[in-house]
Amino acid sequence: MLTILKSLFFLVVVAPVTFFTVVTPMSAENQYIFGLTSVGLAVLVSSLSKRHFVSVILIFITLVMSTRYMYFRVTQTLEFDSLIEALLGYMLLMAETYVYVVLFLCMFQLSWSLKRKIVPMPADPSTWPTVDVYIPTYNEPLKIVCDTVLAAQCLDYPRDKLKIYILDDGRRKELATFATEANVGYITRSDNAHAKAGNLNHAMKLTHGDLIAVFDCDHICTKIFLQATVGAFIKDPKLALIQTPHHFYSPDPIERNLYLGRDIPNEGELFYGPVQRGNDNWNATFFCGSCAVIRRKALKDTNGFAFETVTEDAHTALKLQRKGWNTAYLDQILAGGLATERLILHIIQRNRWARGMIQIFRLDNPLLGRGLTLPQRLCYLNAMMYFFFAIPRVIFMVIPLIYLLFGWSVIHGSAALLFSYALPHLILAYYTSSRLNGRYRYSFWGEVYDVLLSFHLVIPTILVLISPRHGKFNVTDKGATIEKGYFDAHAVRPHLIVASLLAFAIIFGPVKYLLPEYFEVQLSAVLLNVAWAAFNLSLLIAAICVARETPNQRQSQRLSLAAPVLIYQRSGICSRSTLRDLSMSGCRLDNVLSHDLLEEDPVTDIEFATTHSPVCVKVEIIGDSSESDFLRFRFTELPINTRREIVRLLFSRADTWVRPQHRKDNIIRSYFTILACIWDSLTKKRHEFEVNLERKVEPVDEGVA
Amino acid sequence: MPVISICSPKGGVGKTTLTSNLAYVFAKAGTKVVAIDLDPQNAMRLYFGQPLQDDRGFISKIETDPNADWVDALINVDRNLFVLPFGKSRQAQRLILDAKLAEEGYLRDRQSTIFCNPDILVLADFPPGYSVALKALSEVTDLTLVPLIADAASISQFSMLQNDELLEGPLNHRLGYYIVLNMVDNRIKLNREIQEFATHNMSEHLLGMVHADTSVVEAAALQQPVAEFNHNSSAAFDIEVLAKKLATILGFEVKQGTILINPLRDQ
Ligand SMILES: Nc1ncnc2c1ncn2[C@@H]1O[C@H](COP(=O)(O)OP(=O)(O)OP(=O)(O)O)[C@@H](O)[C@H]1O
Ligand SMILES: [Mg+2]
Repeated sequence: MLTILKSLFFLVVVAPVTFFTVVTPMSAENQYIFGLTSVGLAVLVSSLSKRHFVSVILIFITLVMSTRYMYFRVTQTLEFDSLIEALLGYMLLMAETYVYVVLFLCMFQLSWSLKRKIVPMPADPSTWPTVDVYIPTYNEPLKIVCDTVLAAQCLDYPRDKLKIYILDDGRRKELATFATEANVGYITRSDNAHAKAGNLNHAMKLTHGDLIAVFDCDHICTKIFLQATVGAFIKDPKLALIQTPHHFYSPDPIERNLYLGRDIPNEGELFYGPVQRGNDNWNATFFCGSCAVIRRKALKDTNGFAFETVTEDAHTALKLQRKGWNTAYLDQILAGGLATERLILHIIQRNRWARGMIQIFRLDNPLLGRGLTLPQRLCYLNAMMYFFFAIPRVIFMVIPLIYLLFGWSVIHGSAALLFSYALPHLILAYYTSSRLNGRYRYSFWGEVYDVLLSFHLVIPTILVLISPRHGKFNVTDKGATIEKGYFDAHAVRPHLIVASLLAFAIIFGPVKYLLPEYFEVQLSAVLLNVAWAAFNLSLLIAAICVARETPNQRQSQRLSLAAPVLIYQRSGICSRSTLRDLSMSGCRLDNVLSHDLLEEDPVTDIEFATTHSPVCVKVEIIGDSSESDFLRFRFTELPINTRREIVRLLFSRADTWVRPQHRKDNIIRSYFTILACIWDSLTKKRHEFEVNLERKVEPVDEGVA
Repeated sequence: MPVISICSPKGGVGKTTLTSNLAYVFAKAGTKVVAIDLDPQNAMRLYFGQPLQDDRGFISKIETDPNADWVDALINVDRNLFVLPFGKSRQAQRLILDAKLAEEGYLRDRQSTIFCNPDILVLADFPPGYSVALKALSEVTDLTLVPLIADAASISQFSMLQNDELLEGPLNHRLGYYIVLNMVDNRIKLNREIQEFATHNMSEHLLGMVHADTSVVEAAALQQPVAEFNHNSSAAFDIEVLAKKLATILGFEVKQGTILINPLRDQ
């Protein structure tokens, strides 16, 4: 009864009102009043409550306003005086339509999110499924792969049900030797067909675990990874995949070169938060290639991992879902990895993602084919649509140039009217996103990320759209150090060119207006375009600042943690101290030794008191400790068993990774933050960046009892 | 009234070190402690800062007055801390002592000021292996501490203890014995394995461990408690941890760093 009433209400009241709201034309003045009243109303409603249904109302208002704007654009602004203007005008309309569609899909994807809980494991471990851990690698150095493997060995899971394999596509002897020493499986193959997917599929033929956990070779898992994920497979026999977040403990190039230590959500947080949780709500979680567990039986249904595209992960999930399998997203950070180190590598990586997603769009379009529910189709579609951003983004960047430099107008009608329609649409779109995702992505930062990549992606996007079977897999290099700061002009050459043009246009436009005897321009149009160009310019400069690579010399990440340690001196004196930070290559302790003593009786070993078992490491002091409150040491020898214990100490704890909590977004503040980041980058100022695990001191077992 | 005996089947394992340093820890925490040396080597006094030539001890009166109260021979070292040295002795004196100790009730009646005093904690140090004194004190001992070195030989000593071979009977009639693994060096694999072995096989008899730490040797040479010689000494820390565990087992109340004794014997 209630549902019938509701439907009736929608049909009789909401639908017609919406329709007329969208199509009624108004004068600029009326539209200002109407638009800004709507914005005011939306802000008022929004401030009343944080409840979900208020968000839904807000989304509705936003979409209506955007639709109204698009309707206006299509019906009133598409008259052009010349062919070139028409061409450019339609291009702009296309870009705007893209944004509009993506806005719709995003609002849908983000408005209902699932907060999945860990399914506890059954009490009897003998009923637990067997698990193969796959660590695929191609050319990454041993020192990176090694810790991932050792961390996998620290997983809390019955020994006889857990097998760990290095899948080496590089056929490297040192890796084989390491695997033997560490006592894990080593699988390699004679060719590298189908890259990572081929590598995984090859291994699947050789191992037999019920479940397959995949970790990229730089994703170090915590010991509870399997206990937290496997339960879901026991509870839901149709579950094919559970994905967990990719968390990066080293700063990505944007964080390092542009945030400069500021507290801003990084690029991944939106996707591995609201987006995947939203997908999960519709049973449309994607596989992201790593930090996930997959059911072997389900993979048999799809003939293994998908290899037709360069993003095998998303495509595999799509194929699994077409066969009726479920996927899940567990929003708990259970592994940590290294972010791409340099901008150029970041661009290469995203290039692959974009090409892959567009390949899937062309070859296995989620709107077509069998087996998916409508929400699943929309979620997958949105993921692929997102990666078309390059072309529209470039169009938005250069459009203000057209009027300011050439005087062509690509939108028919008065600037005032256009602005009166666009303003409420833009404000509401930003305002609503900020309310929905403000803790995961600050306003305008999405634009910065996109601008950074888009010039490089335009041509690949077009090529792949035309010829989707073209393209090969490339591996992202990680773990490199940047010795000296430098400016990677090559990576941002297009940005520099467009930025110069914009800067020129911002001056040239007003000059034109001041010389009416030579040029014929409208003040309002000049102002609108100058403002737009200035906004674009600020985003571009922010992107360019990312190319100013700041040094990152630490060989391995250093994490702060306070735990008791023992210091052995050559004479046999053994003293207690407190560990302050630890990395795979050394550590820092409170200085409890007198300077003179240290000279004649150097420290030789350090013992970490862990709950597991004591670990001793050979060390050598670094730096001058005479006046310091701390002693710094470098590990001189790290045999595998010792290294595993350090990995356990450093990475394996259940609470190793905490999700950073950011304060709520504020649209205006966020824009000024971007300007402040630019300023700091240009003046080479830097806020202290610390990877801090906020970990509690482990209750240390005193002695052996 | 609690009496802790510190003994071991083997020599040089750290009995005297443990006795003296535990005595310091307890005394510092506010407990009245008497450390008794029942080893004719008469070395324990040195750990309490007594000069080498000072050879006083309870044994000196044993010929003239075999039932003399040992309390008269106590030396006050520090607030709360008393030491009862063995004293310089001759064979004849030691024979008399053994005879007296073998007498039924000698400790309980004649030496009741020390052994039946609810306000003091007694820590008794012994020569290695079997001794008449160890047997006699087993009657009044609440808890026996057995330091062992975590080497290959310790495995056989574990089983010796499990079979009550040292006294051909229990080491006390109250709380039993506790092993302390001493001079543990975790850099040595065998050491870690012995610890693991002990944790698995002797867990209810394993009190804890003390790291090998040259601070112990150096402190002994300077006649200081280890903690005083090196504030951050790992051995000193380990001994403090042992003291806390002992206090819990013996039912002391530990209040704000002060260990108060409860009379706990039922007789
Ligand atoms: N934890 C330790 N680290 C380093 N040296 C130690 C430690 N414990 C004891 N020692 C040293 O070992 C030697 C023997 O210790 P101690 O005299 O306490 O043993 P003991 O069992 O009383 O010997 P004995 O059987 O001769 O009475 C001493 O030199 C002492 O300083
Ligand atoms: Mg001794």
